[in-house]
Amino acid sequence: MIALSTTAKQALVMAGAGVALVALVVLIARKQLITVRYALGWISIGLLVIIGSLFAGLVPGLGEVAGMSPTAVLLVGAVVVLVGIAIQLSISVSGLQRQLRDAIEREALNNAVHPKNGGEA
Amino acid sequence: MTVSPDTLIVIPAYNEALSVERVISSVKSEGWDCLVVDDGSKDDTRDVALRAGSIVVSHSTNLGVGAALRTGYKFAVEHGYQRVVQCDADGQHRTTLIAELVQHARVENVDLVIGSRFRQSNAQSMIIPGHRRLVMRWLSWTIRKKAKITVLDTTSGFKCVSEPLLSEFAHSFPANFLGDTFEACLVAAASGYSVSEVPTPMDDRQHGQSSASPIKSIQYIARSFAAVMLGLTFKISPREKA
Repeated sequence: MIALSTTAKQALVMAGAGVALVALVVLIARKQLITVRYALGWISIGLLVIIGSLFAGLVPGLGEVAGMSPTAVLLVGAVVVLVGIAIQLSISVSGLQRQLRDAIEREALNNAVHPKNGGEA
Repeated sequence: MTVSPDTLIVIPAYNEALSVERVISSVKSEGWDCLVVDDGSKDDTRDVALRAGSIVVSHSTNLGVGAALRTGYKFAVEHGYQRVVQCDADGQHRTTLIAELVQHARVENVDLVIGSRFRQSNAQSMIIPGHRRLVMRWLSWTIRKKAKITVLDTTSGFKCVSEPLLSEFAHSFPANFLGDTFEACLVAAASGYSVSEVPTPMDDRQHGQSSASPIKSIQYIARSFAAVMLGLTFKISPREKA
């Protein structure tokens, strides 16, 4: 059995997680559970994780500069990406909420009912 | 006092089938044009309002009183009205006092006239729980601090909005809980629109329950405190000087 260094193991885990993410997103996109726009976003992140795993050797050096363990560096990286996605989704949801409210208000105004003729005002 | 044909009475209503008919009849008997904004009611509010002689617009789902008012403001602007008087559907507001709000707006040229429960000499006509009084005091203090005006009844839902503020509100108005009262008043005053109060006693609700529970009030004060302190209130164009 080949003995792997900690960095190599972390690189493998990262690459595996990236592949799993891409596979999962493709699966749920094919079931039409998310739109192509979001699917492509998540697939890009999965691919970035896979590519990032090739540079896992740089992580201990980064950790030394930042005064953190390599695991903490990866964790911080993941948290930053996830917070970025969460903020982007919050912006998206806020916009959709506004659009939905506008559409409901417009639809209500277009269908105003007048008591005299029972038709539109 | 005479009725102004350029004024629309907007009644936002959510599940108010039991009381809205009486309010509409009262408004219509005074000669005002009346619009009920049915905010996704699950009861017969829409049909009752229509039978009572009001124009009705219906939201397909419940959006909140702020959104209902914005729909009313849009309707008024699109149909050429110059001012809107908001009147609750639960029968708490005395429709006989609508003319006083409109008269004050006209004569004094005021953009936002608030019907105040705390301005009359014989004090309050209805009982307000202690926690709500505390919230109101804080809201009043905030408006005084931020907009340099004194508004005692910051949560009154009985008010008259005139052009050009009406068009601004039709475009941008908060839908969150109580945003239609305190936040609207604060933003209007801070943007240079004239705001004043007129004494209007209020009656108890005819039917149903108020949406302002203690938990909602706490949530609202926390949210509005953060919004005011961080400058996150909604925005309208500043009033152009006449």
